[in-house]
Amino acid sequence: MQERPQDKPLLTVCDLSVCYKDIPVLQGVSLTVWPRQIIAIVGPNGSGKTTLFKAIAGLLPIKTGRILFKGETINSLPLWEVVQRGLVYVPEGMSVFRDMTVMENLEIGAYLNRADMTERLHQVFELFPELYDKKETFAGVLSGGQQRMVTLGRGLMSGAQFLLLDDPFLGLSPKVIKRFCDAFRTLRKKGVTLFIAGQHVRRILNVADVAFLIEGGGITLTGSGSEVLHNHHLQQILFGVDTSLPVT
Amino acid sequence: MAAATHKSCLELHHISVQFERQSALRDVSLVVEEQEIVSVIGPNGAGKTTLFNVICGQLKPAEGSVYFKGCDITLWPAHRICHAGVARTFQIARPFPEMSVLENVLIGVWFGKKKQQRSLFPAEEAKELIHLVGLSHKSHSAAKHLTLSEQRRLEVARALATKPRLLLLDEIAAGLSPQAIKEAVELVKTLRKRGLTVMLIDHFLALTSKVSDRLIALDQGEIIVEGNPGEVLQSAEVVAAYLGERQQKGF
Repeated sequence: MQERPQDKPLLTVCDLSVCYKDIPVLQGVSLTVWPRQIIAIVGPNGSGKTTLFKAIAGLLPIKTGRILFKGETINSLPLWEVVQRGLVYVPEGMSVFRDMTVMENLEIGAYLNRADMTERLHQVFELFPELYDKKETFAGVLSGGQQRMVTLGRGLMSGAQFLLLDDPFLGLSPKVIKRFCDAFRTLRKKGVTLFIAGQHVRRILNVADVAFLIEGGGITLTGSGSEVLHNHHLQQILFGVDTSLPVT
Repeated sequence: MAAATHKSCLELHHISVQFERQSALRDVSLVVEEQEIVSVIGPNGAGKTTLFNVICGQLKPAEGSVYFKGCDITLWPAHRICHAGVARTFQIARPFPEMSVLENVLIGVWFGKKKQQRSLFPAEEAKELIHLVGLSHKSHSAAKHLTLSEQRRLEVARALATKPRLLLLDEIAAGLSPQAIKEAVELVKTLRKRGLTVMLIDHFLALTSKVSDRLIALDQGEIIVEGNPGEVLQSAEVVAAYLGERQQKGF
């Protein structure tokens, strides 16, 4: 993993455990995220990626452990304060305000941080020009993929320093995914740290500086995106040993 | 296009759909043969799901006709089309959230067919389908507690419960791991062996290009290219509108 001694860690997760009712979903997860990086987490369906993100964002109670953001414990803070400190979670799926226009949905994203809103709006429309043409349309009548763009765009509108993107490419066409990967690098240059989970394993790991593999609620592999992608164990559990799909 | 024949499973003749003043589909004509697997690809907002909505009767076209096994079903209500043998899954999964997985599938088993075709053993039938999609361990979980990918598998089981002849699958691979996509490929092939005709919408080329006999590429409501997966994925129009870059061979 790339060490960044000149920086302080942006996020530190120590020995985190989360249960749904009595069933453990995350067990003893520890990881460190350094600023201005793209970090990926991949794993089989049901391995705990979304639970980890929700726990970090304060959407789920934790059983044991600590979560530090910019050196301060955040796991007991109210949600709005976590967001105000610059940590934003963008959920998987299409969670738009259906009866609000595309523009209103995007503006909601900037509710707690309105400085430079116009610039961020420009950035979102540059990334998703499809939305510009539909900015006065109710979000509920958009296609599924377009609703996904609104969900992601709303997260980008927050102006957060640290974005947790849960399966960001779900439902998007290959061309939009490529455009989005390019946008990750631009965001990183602007100082944003991105933590991405998802099933587009090759795409995500190819763009990541650092990557984690999660299995059965625990981190089992850490390395650069490329190292993790070419790891034999990952190949076995995510692609199957007899895969004919090329690693690109 | 030739008149509808009994040989084809599905025929669309010059379908046009408008939302307010915008064209969602423009003069779309296509034929799907019995036991064929056809995938519809295209950019977000190209009209793919709208096409499925027209076939299922959820949306009536402004112009054109839909023939299922030679019968004009254009103006039939959705439940009648379902009873005739057309079922679909939804891109944004729509389970009954408070009901269990088993109860959700039982709804399909019980109400998805005409009274005289209903099963004598609905619970057994539902359990078999739940097993087929790999959700047996969640049979008694409320649908709202499933992950997105599990909800999608539930959609497939519920659609199959209606005993369709034509199955329309809208993004079943979204949110699935690469290994699970391989399983989805096998599932679709199994369905064909059972005699079904399948239409897919999916952005995962690892699924559509591996399983489909034919790809139909839509852009801005119109068919831009149609043919075998290799040809379509290499065509300049599809690269420009949808892929953004050429795919490597063997994808």
